[in-house]
Amino acid sequence: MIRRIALLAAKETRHILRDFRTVYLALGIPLVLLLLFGYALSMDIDDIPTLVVDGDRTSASRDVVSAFERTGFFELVGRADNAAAAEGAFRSGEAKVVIVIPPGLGRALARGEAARIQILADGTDANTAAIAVGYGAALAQRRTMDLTVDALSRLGVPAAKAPRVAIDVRSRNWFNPTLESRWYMVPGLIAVIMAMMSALLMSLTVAREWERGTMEQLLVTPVRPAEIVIGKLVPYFVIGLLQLALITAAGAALFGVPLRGSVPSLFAISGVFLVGALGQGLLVSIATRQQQLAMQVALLTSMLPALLLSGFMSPIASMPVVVQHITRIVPARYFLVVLRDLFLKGSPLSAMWPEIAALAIFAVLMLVACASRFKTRMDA
Amino acid sequence: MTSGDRVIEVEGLTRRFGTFRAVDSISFHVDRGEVFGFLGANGAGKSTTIRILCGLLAPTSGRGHVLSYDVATEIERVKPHVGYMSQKFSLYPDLTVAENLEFFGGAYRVPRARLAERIPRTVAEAGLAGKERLLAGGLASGFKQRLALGAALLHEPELLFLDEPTAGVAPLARRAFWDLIRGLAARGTTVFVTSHYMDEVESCDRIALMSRGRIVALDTPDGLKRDPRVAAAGFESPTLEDVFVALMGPEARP
Repeated sequence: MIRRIALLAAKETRHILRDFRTVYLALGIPLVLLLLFGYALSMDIDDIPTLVVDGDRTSASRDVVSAFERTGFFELVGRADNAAAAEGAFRSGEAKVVIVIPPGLGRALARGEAARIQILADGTDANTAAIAVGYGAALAQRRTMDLTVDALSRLGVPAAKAPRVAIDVRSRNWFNPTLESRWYMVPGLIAVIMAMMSALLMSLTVAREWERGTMEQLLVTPVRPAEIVIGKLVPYFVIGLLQLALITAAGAALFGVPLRGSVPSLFAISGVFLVGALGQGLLVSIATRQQQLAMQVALLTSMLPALLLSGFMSPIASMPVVVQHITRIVPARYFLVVLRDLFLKGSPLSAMWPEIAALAIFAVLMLVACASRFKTRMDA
Repeated sequence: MTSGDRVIEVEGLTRRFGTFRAVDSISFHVDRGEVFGFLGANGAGKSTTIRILCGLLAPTSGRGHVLSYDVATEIERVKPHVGYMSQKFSLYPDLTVAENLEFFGGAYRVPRARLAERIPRTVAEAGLAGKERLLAGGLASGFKQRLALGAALLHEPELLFLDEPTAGVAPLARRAFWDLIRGLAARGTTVFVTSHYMDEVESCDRIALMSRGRIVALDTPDGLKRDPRVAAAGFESPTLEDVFVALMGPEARP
């Protein structure tokens, strides 16, 4: 049994090493994805191109504009005379945000009356728009407080004694103090990449033997389905762990993503996830017997759930309730939680046993399905 | 096994693909040490029969026993004792000659020490000495065929299935190949071989003529030639080709 598994694993390893495309695919794609997601899909927003329409042109209005600029989130790209210019600026892409200060702001503030400013955002980029408007509102609130203090001091209340009657929120983000989106993106990306690559590479293996005709010669030998299944999994399991090491190292080197948990824990839990992901690809390969079809089915059934239903792109809590229930059968969902906890919180594995149990159940189910679906006859 | 000498025993064996009867209720037996030939055109059902007997296809109905085991239910017990060489080269093209032999030897559970003796001999017999480290896919077709035969014989099977072993092989190499087959039979291996070359099946002990899934005639080469249907068709001192034409009509000629 062990001898034949070793034999099959050695044979499979030779297939991989002699078809170098597999190696490129296995190690190249994770790096490309890491760079793509890390650089292009960064959710951190700064230097939003901003157009200013200052209809007031007083020192008060200039204070407002420079307050926006000082945050670092807004970059002044131009000025216009009236708000009608906003549409042109949005259409040309020159600006994503327009700050409109109507005439009379300075006067209103001087009189101690409420003043208005308007923030227009290009809603086609909903994410940037929402963040820009949020920043704007927070900024206005802070200015309001400063102005209140100024107003009181003019009434004779010393600044030090002026009551700050606003709720002063002081927030701290634990584990990721500067809310680096890459810090939670990279651990999530490990789940996506491993789910996708494992299924993709594995889906070709059995189908390739059917297409080449070598399966016929293999099936007349007394090897057992379980031996074939395990023998085929082993080399791809090693590749999966190499991918994990590669992404973790590249994530640390390029984006400073910390790994606060232990390395053995990371590899142990990833191993459990890998068996399930590889088994899923193998099952597709066993069922389809055609490389093209197997590859497409494997990609669809691994990448889409891992990207969309795992909590990688958007939090599961914000999905419709029905979809939330569906995510329970997506192994990447559990792996993602474990990875973020391991990387950022440094939690011990003992704190994650429900997720580990879910991953282990999926892995066992996949292995059993592969071994029982594997037919030793040519009849489909 | 009904008799100690019956290596293959088939009765009413049928295999349908949809409504098409690839093998249509055939019955025959093969004795130990025989070279048994299956002669017929492409699509006559020869490969399907071999695949059923090797366990690659399940029979639709009828009974088939190989080495006294039922091919429908006990095929895993048959596999260790049987060798199979398929029509198309189906060793691993991206493994070397030696790697292929090591793999199939191990898959057939040949003890390591025994395999260490068998592989150099197999390589030498296949004329592949010095080519052990070449990829199997790059060999000339004659060498591929010899290597495939060697791989099928590593575990010293009692019964060897050869599906069109000489298809696409040069005449001289074909002759050499049949010398090998006869040598195997002389040492006690039963050989079940399909072909559509009439000249080469001449050297089989017995031949089954197959057409459209059925066995039309089954006898020794001489017995076939003496078939009254052949004389009735007007052939004197007939060749196997004449037998074929007489029994199946020219359109069924392989």
